[in-house]
Amino acid sequence: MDNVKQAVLAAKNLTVKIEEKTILSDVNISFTPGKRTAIIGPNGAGKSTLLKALAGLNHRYEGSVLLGDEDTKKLSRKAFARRLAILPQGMTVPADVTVSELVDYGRFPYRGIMTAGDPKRDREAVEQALAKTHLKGYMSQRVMTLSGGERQRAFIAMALAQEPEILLLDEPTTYLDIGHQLEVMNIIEELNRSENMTIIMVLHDINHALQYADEIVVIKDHGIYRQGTPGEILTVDLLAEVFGVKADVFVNSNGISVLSPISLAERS
Amino acid sequence: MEAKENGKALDKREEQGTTDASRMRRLVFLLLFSALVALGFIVSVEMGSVPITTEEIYAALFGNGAGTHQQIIMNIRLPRTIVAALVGINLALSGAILQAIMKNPLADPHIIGISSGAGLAAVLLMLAFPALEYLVTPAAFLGAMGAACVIYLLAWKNGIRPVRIILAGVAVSAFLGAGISAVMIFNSDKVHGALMWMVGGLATRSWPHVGIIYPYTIVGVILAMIGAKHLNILQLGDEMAKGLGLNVELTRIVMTALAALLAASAVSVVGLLGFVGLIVPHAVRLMIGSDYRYLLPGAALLGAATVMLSDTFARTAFAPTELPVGILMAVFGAPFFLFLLRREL
Repeated sequence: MDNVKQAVLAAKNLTVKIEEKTILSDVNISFTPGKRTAIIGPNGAGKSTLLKALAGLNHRYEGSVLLGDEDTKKLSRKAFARRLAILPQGMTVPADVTVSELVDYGRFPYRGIMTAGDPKRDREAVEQALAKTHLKGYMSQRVMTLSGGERQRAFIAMALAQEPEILLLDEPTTYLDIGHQLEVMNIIEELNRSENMTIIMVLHDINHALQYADEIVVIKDHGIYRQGTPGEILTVDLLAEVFGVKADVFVNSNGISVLSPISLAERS
Repeated sequence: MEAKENGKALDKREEQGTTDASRMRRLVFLLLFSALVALGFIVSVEMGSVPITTEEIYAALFGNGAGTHQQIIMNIRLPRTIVAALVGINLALSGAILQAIMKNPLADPHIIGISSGAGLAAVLLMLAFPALEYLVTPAAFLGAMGAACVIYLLAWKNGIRPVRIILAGVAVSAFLGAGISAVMIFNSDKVHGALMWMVGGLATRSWPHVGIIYPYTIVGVILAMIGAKHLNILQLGDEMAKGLGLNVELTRIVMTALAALLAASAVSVVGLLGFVGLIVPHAVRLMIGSDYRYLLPGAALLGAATVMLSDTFARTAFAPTELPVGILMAVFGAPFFLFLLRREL
């Protein structure tokens, strides 16, 4: 896996308009393979819109999204889903779907219209996905009866069953308590470390971005505002510029700088 | 630590057990529905003003039946029973498919204009142009498909969203419904036949009707079963479905068209049987679950059994008067459905 040269996901001159309103304007960005990239920015800046365009959930854009040198619009949906998986926000499933059924849905891109694919391979992939998300004991539980953290892990397991090179996550820790937030972030970190999976995630918690990301992309005013490492990007000044928040910086006992918002900054 | 591990192993075994249990449950219900279909078939052919025995059915079907009973089986009971079964299959499948693609539990063939379109076409022919009454079946079919297409076009705006189809469907149905009422009021002296048709019934249905409906049933069942796993994915929501590589728009268009064809073929033959398309898929979902690979065959079987059994009861309970089967199904089916609903929730 590590020796295979991974394709770069990139957006070129990407402009997205929703109902005539420009959400993203002429965005150019590429994501380093094998890294964890966090996308941050204020509400309404276009973070989710960028993620959806990258994942092909929304094809109504100008410009192009490239995977390697291929235009993702031209790839078949299933071929694309075998290489890139996305976890959108706020998902629900019918009340009686079990964890193992949900994870098995992740094998859909490997199945033909009439054919069953490779059942043995499918079973292996589902089992591995369950193991990586620590859900082996939950196989026959109904997804909607799980706690928030377990449910999020189940959806991550479904994405893993797709066996993608690239995993996109839209605010994967929203609505979770801090313990489950870290649990989910640790799973994501582990996937990146052990499988060299490229991770691109929208995060709203700046300190998660500081702790778990290799690269930061800041979105503001319909475009890329900054891109770089957490240390050079996530500063007190940036929080004031982008979020309008005055913050202090501390170094925690892991040696990681954390930002603590104090008050709204005086807007000039 | 070791005890904990043991506990985990035990949990896992028990969970494996519940998976098997739900698989078992599906199988039991599918077998039960199959038994109901067999029962419905036999009862429907045997019961009536002239009682028929099972031996006579066997003789008529597989060999050397003779005499008037043979005639009754082959020319009256058997074709009517087959029409009932096919209509039940088509309407139940149509409703089940629509509930998945609209992600709305109230979706049924009415919602895509099948009833109002077929209704207006049929009522116009029967009341305003009675000389053309022999064309009711094709006209109702065209009316149903026409209304479904109009609703689809009205709901189309950069793709289809279920809620727009439902709202467009309500509006178009109200519009066409006004037309039906107007035609009936201006012809109130001869409205009886049209009313019977609007309620839905199987009286005098025979081989020609079988010939009209069976191709749709065959194609419909095959396409629905192929579509089952796609409908499962669609139930996860548009975004997740796209993320998993499903062509959401195409799936929705193809499956809506299929549901429209299934319902239109049924409605054009027996009139506006309302109940089967809404309640049968729901009842099956409550019993079997939401996995469409089981839900669709379950709905087809239960739909066939429901219409065959209801029609038998409708024509024998108050003999020699024959009730329209639509009334009967609603009277017995609605309380049964409410029972299922109360028990589940």
